[in-house]
Amino acid sequence: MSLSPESRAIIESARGAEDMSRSHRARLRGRVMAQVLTGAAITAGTSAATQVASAATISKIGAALVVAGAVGWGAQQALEPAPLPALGGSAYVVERATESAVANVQPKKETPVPQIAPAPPQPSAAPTASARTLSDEMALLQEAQRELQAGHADRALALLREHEQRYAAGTLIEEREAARVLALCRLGRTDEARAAAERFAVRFPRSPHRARVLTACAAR
Amino acid sequence: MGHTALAAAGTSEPVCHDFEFEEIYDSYADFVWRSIRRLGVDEHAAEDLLQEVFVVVHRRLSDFEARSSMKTWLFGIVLGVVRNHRRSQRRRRVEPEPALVEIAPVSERDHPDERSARAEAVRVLYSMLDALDDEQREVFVMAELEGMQGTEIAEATGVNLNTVYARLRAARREFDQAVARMRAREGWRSGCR
Repeated sequence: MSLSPESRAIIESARGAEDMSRSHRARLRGRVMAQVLTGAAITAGTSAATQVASAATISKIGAALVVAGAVGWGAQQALEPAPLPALGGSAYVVERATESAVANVQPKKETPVPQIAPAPPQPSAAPTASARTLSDEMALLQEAQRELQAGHADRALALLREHEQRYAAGTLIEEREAARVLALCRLGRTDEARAAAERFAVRFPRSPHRARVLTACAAR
Repeated sequence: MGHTALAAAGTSEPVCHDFEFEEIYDSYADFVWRSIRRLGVDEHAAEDLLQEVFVVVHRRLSDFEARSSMKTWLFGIVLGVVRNHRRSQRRRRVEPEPALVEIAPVSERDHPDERSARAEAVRVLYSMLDALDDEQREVFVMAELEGMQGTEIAEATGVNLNTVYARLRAARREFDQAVARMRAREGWRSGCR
């Protein structure tokens, strides 16, 4: 027995529509490479990969998610000043990986507190250059995020520019550009923010940050 | 294991690349992604599972033998990871994990005008697949959606060929029925039954 023509048509009409967007694929690629390159040395012989990934790796993944969460936080804060939520839904890996660090998410005014605890030393598996590059990229973006949260949108913007120069082809471009829109809104540079938001929507049409970015200034 | 090479790529710092692994990722990431999703894993969990699959791939690359196709080999790994995930979901009986990273289709309802036809086609396909039980679904996805041969499916699932065909027959019947039920509901809703 073979499938009915109608069933066949349903399958055919979905063909090609399931693949990841380019930005989604690139983001996941960054995560996978970071995990594989840093975690490979210590995962031999274990089955549940995420459970045995080094704490360092998980922290890095967590860092990316904190960055993603921060964009959301910025938008939310634009609506009403509220204490930093526990990093929203994005904190899952962080909570699992570095529970103690999450308690520190509220940054102090002048002295930025690292949101992710330093990874425990990994004697056997030194991170390779690719993974280091990714974590450096994240660190810079996190710094910008902290400045934004602390109300220093101008400093945040400068850091975002630095990120743009150093990581022109980076993994977190989408997050950087979203943060830029929020920073511009904060500074009251509404026209520039709107223009940046429109460019963002064109460049990342499937971005999870899209709605927040497009409404960032309106919410103020 | 894939050969590792050093590339200076315009920077003073050498960058380590595992070219073979990266090539496999770039060629098959979409295949792995859609396979995981087609097996009924929600979008948020699918990100973690894709990562798990490629960690396993990286570890086992040296075991890969060219006697099976890369696709078959990968699907076997996907099945293992997805089955583990299903077991842990059942064991814990909890709500789905909170969102790790939001992914585009979550906001679909905010932008019904965009990409809606294609996204809708995928949604319909997945809801029809939901009508199949896990074993039928695995075989159906491989045979009807990926066009894999019976012997390849037997290899990836680890069951014999007769069982593969029996599951495929049952799966096609269930899928057809699910489609018929959906059409009946639509007809009922629009009052033109």
